[in-house]
Amino acid sequence: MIKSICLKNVNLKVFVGAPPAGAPSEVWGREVEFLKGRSYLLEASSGRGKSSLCSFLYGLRSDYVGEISFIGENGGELRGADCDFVKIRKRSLSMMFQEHRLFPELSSVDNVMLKSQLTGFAARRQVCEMLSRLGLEDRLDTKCAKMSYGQQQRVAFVRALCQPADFIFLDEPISHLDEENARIMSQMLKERQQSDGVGVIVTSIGYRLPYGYDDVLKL
Amino acid sequence: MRLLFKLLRQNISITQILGFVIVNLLGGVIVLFGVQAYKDFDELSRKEDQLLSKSYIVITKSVSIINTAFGSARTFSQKDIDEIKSLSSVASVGEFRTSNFRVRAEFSLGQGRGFRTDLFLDAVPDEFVKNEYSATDGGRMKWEASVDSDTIPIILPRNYLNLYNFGFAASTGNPVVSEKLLGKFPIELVIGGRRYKAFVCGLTNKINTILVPWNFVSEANEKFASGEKKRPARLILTTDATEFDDSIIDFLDEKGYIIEGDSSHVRLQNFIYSLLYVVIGVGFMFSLLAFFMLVISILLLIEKNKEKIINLFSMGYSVQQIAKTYQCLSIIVDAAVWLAAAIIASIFYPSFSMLMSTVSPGFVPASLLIIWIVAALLAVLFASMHSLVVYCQVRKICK
Repeated sequence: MIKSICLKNVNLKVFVGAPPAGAPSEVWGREVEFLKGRSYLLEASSGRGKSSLCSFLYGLRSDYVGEISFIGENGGELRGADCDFVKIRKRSLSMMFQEHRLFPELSSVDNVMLKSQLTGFAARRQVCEMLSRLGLEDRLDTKCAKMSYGQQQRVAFVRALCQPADFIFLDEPISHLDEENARIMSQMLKERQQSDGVGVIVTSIGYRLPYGYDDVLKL
Repeated sequence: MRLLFKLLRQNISITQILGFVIVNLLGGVIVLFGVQAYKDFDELSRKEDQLLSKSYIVITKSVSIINTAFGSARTFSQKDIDEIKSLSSVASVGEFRTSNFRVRAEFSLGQGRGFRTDLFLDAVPDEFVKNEYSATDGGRMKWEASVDSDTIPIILPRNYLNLYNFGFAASTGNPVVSEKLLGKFPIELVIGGRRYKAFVCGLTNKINTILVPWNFVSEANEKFASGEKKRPARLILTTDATEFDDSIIDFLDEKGYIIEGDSSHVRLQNFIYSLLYVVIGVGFMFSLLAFFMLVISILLLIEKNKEKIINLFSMGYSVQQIAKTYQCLSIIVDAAVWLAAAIIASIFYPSFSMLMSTVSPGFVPASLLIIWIVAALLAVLFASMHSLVVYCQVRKICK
């Protein structure tokens, strides 16, 4: 179980010696700690490394300098090569990718179930209820290839909720959603945070998920 | 697993799988057929070695007008024997002892059928012959007899059986006798008015005489003949090596000695072995080709599903979980193909072995278990190799 994620002087390799123009970052090159149970909004304009940071934290990329460490409940620390990201992704970290990474040949329910059955987190009925809350009740058995970008975004969100987690990363989750769906999404996320005490890290290019964030950081 | 298979089975090429199945089935049937035939022929050739304890040859002096005129010249003197004994590749030398009395044999084939003939007997020292043989009643029979015994174990030349089956039996309408059945027909030997029951312990291609225990011939020569000891006309030579080397062949040639036995039989046997090696080799080449066809097919499939594999990995699926889908596919295909190959080989092999039994009476097909064992082993080998290739490829993608 991960209690917090610590970033020590982490910076994108491409930013070293050539920082992006604009206001200085509150994350890159600084010491930052994300705590379980709290919510964070990482805000930045395009090209400031929002998705890159998510990928670093999720263990998909390592083209950064500095140090990222995961602090466990018992104070133990895991960093770099010590991390078994297969286990961490299964039990501790969940990610809603900006590009969704859904499987177009599977239905919306099957896409979520593929994730959920990894840990037996939610039954098919529960998954259908979650998708229905986001207005996808008539799209449950529709292949994702035949769904709109906004619909796919909602499926990807439900998928991110359907696993045990200490932190949930949402990379620009509502870029193609209307206000009502954004509100429902926010409500579902809140319910999850309250029930399991997960940490929430949301990125935004300006169009914010309406949420009572504990911290807003400029990237 | 069901969803994972539903996802990853996309892009499976039925044509490629079918190609693998056909080629591997062809190769598999050939390999299994070849291995079973090899086992059966090997069994046939080993029968020869079972009679005597070691690798052996029997030598005589060549028969010419000169030594026909001077009878003693075709027998081996003590000096000849000592000279042969001194050869490094010869482990031991034994003299043949010939019966000096009249032997009459009566063969009964049931229903009043049978025949009689005059025979002769020979013996080699007992250490050259195995002590025990399987008796026809399933028990063990000792290689021993005396003139007071009622039964005598004998070893017959295989030619005699062929002579009977393809000569005498064919012309007189008597039934043909297989090697297995031979022991069940009683042969009565009449020596000096006394009747002995002879049991055939085995057949040989290398000795053109009827072998009985040494003690029997010695005692019978004393009792039914003058007891005069003659010089041996034949010697049995053994070697500690698997086969005699060329040096002894050269020596025998130089001395004008002749190796007894049917050399064409040996040549035929060698030819059959070579043929079987080629058949198994060709079958294996087909199977190997099929193996690589499936490897390429699976690699292509994995490559086509590369993006899906990366996404699954990023979702929390382990390399093992992802690879399992393709491994199951290859295991099912491999097992099905080798099972089918074993079934086909098991169905058709008996027809082949029946044909072989007709041509070679000594050919007794062994259990078809070998087909199933080899098929199971190759299926496990192929499936393991395919699984390993799949695992390595998926791991490479997920790195």
